Amino acid sequence: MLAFLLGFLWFTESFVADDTSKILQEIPYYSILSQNQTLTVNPDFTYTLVVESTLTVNTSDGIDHAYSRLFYDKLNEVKSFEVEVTDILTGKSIKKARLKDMGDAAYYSSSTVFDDNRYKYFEVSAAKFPVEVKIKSEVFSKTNFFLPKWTPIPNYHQKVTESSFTVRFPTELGLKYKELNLKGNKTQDEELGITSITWTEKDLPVQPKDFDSDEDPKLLLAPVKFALDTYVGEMESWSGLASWQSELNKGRDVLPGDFREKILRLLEGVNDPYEKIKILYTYLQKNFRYVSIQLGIGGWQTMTAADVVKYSYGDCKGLTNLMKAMLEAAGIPSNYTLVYAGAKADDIEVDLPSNQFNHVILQVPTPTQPIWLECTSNLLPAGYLGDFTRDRHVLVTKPDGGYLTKTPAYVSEEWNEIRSQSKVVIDPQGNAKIDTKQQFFGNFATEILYVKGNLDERQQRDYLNRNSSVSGLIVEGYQFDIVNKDSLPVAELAFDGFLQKFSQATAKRIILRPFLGKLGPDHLANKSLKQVDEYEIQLPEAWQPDGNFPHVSMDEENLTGLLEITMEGDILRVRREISLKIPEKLEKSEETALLKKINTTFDRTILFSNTTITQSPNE
Amino acid sequence: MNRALLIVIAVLLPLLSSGQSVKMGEISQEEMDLKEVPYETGAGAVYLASFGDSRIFNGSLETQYFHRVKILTEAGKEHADIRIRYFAGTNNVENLTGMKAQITNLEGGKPVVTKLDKSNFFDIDLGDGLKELRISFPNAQVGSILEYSYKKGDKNIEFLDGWTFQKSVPVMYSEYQIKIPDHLEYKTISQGANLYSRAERKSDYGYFSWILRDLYGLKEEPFMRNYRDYVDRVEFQLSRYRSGSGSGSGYTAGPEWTDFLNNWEKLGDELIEYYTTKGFYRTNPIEREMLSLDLGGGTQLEKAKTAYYYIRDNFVNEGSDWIYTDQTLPQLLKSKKGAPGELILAYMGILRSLGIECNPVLIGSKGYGRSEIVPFPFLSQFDEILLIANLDGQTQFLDLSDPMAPFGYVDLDKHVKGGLLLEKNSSRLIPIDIKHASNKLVYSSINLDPETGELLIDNTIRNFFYEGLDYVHRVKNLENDNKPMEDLFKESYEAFEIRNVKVTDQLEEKNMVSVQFQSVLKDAGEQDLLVFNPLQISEFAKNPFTQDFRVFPVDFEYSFKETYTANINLPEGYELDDYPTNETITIPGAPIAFTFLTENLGEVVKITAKLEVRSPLIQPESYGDLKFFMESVASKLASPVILKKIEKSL
Repeated sequence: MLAFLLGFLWFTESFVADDTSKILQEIPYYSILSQNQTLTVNPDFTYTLVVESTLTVNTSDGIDHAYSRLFYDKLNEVKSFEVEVTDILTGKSIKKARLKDMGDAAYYSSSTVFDDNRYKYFEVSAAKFPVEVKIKSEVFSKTNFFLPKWTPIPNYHQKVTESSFTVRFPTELGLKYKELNLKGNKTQDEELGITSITWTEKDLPVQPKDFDSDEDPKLLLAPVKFALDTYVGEMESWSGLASWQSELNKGRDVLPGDFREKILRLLEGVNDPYEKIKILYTYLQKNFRYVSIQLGIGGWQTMTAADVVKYSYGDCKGLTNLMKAMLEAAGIPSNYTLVYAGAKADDIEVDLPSNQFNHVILQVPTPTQPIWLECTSNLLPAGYLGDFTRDRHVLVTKPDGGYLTKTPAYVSEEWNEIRSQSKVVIDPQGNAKIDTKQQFFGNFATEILYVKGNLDERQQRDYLNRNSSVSGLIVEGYQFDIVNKDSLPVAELAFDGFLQKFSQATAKRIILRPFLGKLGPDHLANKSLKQVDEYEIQLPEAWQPDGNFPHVSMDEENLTGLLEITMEGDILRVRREISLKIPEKLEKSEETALLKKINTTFDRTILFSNTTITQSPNE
Repeated sequence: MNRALLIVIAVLLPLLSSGQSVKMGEISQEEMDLKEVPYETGAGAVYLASFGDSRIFNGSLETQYFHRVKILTEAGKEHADIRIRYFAGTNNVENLTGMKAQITNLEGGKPVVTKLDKSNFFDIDLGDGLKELRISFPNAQVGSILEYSYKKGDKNIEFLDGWTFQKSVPVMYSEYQIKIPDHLEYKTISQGANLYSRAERKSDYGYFSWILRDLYGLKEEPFMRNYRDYVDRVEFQLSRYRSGSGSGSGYTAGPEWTDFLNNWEKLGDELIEYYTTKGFYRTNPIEREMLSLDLGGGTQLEKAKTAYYYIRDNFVNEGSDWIYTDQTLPQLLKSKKGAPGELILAYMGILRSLGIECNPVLIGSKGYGRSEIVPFPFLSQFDEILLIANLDGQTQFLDLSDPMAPFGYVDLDKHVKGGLLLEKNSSRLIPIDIKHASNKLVYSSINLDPETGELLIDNTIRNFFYEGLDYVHRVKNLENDNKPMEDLFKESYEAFEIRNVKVTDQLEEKNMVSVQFQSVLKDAGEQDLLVFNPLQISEFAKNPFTQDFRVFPVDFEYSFKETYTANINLPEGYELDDYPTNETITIPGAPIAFTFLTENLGEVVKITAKLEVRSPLIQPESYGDLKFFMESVASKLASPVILKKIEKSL
């Protein structure tokens, strides 16, 4: 019985929630970890990371915690690896393995044509539990440009009894760090010019799968003095990193003479700087495509502009560098800018100058707001950034330094507007012909840019059908037009078609199916919305209004709305307006409540008397 | 090869290649001028020509590939990056040689050809013997014509990969030819509606060729999970070879024919032998394993159930479902962890040790690449196992693929038309007909709460068989993610609110999973006209078929019925004002039908709707009718009922 109880306690951890309800939760854990990591930075800017782990794996659910994956490429090398699995009950060694026993594979990327990113891996298996798994690994890096971060709790459902991280570095090289949610001890000393800092965390809480990653303890590290290949730099400030990046790309922006002449000819007679930028950006979009090739230092240093011209392709660095060189040729200075891209990516740690970036865009300074160019897109207008890079801190690099700034967020109404005008003719059977024109401004236009640029005709028709506010649209003709106003994306969509059963026949009435589209989370994604929908509906003569038409008027802080329905002769006119501003932080439940409120308010049934249908229910 | 044959080939080849130049650089004016694919407008790129030519030399297959691609739109430029995956293994089982590529652009109206050099080819080692050749074409523009060719060597000549005619973008011309040496004989396995109906075929003097034109690009379509089973392709299985007397060194030419394929009986016996060497036909270890289990009494069905749950609940189900096993039976019993195929075979061992007649059945599962079983005996058409048992005189198919499935459930991907029954000396193809009534019954009781003014719809969904199993998985996923059961229903951001979701899993006892929940309309009592949809949860209230046309059949996977019954209890002070009209519809051939009925029973109004899928596979020719039908269904399922407050006279 005692053994059973011990086992039970072993597998779960009590957790008292902070709220007053004092709900006792038990988060199971499948392994127990004790780990020491030692990072040694050498005077020649290389480093070694040694990780020693002892895992007690209680159940088969925890065996994945013993999986090892060690990254390597031209700059990083796996030096050694040892693993031993022991049956705890018998003390017998079950399995031993070394580096030569590890599997080897490439990181598969559908977007990268060629890179040198590979990994060694080892999967531990066991038939009986508990087992003890001891793992020791050593990796060597030729550069301290990027230092590993320390996450004391590597897995969900893992109990960490002790985890320590020691970094040793020549004091002269310097080191910066940022502690996040660390609550343990830190010790520091210096001897013979080598500084040593050790962080130790003990008895850490077990994390469930839905653990909030913002609460995760971790340590971020960055060098002060660093080198990548032969390029030495200092990361004391953002400016230092920026000037190093400029140095890395120095001399790689030389345009071939004939290409330079060709693009300058495109600008003959053009004086307006924005117009020049637009012409060159459009030229880049039409003639160059994104191809990612990342090898060694090439992951950070751009291809030369001449090579990008030669192949008509490049990655973000190569295309941005070429665009910068083209603008330079036109007498327009611009800045190569580093960004951490991703549609829902967290912002960078602004107080830890370090390499936190995975993408490059171009900033063109103007006397007012800078113009931003996403050089890997062949869809966006010059000066507009998609959700991949907007509204976040970026590092603008210049030869003499650089600075951190933010990209635009496009949250005001002019960037988030949708308008539509529809003419509908309903026949006596309730089917309808519809002719619609829609205009999308700013963020909402980007989806239309994608649909126009990337989908074939069947897919485009399907898009129109699926996104029709009344289901069953059979599209006859349609047209997408892109009519951007400078950097504001503007898309116009016109279609005509047939709507099967636009009205529903009930026993006594005709009910128009809801035709004012509902709002969903996508409408709120950009913090504001202006939507105006107008319908002009020609009804069969026999239909007469059944009661008064609904009327809606909303006037609240941050939300105004209007629904007007009038009838003249056989023409029904419907106009809906919604204008919305959304607080910066909107919880999911608040968002749902807001959407329900708006949709419910405008979900009004329009009824007509039906003198032609006489069917009665079975009685 | 003798001189006469060479002449025949010389005459034959131009004939085979007629209609389309498949030589690099020989681009026709028509191809130069092509701006879009007439039958697939807006396609980003098109394969103008694809050609494959296979020969067998010295016990290896060599296939010369040639492709000509045209970029038609900006987005189509992504097709200027080519990836060719091959399995090199540890001894170059497959290898690529002779890569050539060039791009042709029109400059000033004249074609300018750029030949690719080594810097444009990348050979990637993906690990586990897999490699990938990647080609990035420089100067790819809208209008560019890309051509590439290579030779692939393959040391395996028992089963030849052959040719797949479609690509992700349209293919206007696809031709494959193969020369079979006269000392080898292959069975051709061809598949796909286009190949059957409109392929241009030729066969002369050991040359066989197939041409297909104007093929759609492969794109996903709703209600078709396994479109790979419908793609047009040809493959070849070695059936016999002629060998010299006493050579014994493989498939060398000689006077005597030797059967390679044998027959179903021998193929079955080979597999049985394989499983026997792995220990799966031995009962001793199994009997020891089952000592703790009481399997003494009861019917065969009861014993089979007990053993099923023992394996399901005491072994970890991990790994790919496959007809070959990594472990032996003793290893499996020790590790308590195995792939579905291993667990199935261990289960067979238990049943056999109990004297129950039980045998494996090999099948080609859905998505493995074949919609029909190939009626001659080769093994590579099978990928998964199930069991057939005789329990108390009843035939029962058994499976252990799904750790959450109760006894008797067979993974839906294994619901195929037939399989190979493995039985010593009498293995044979058998039909597979797994009967189940995976229906859905939805019952709703609708009341207006006079105190709160809320319109309460109390719903019960009874999901039977595989519909129920689907719910079991969804519930488990929510539990794993610590999500509320309300998430079983997609948030619609509309007026109704979902409350009090309760799931009752009676799948093992009654083949049923019940889901009870309330949908609530707040402040309903304040309205003079109460307009609402009484059927709240049908997934067919929105037509899933929105595409203009269909390339693959619509596959509902199995026949089923969905029946909705809503009883509206007329609240005091209200009268039924309006309701949806009755309707009964179907499409030609009646593979699917729908009825909708409203009955006024006085204080109760009863709405009944039934959707019945009788033939789950509906061919593309019927798509237009099906689309129109489902639109009518959607419209009806979303129709409102109107209750009206009775005006009180003063």
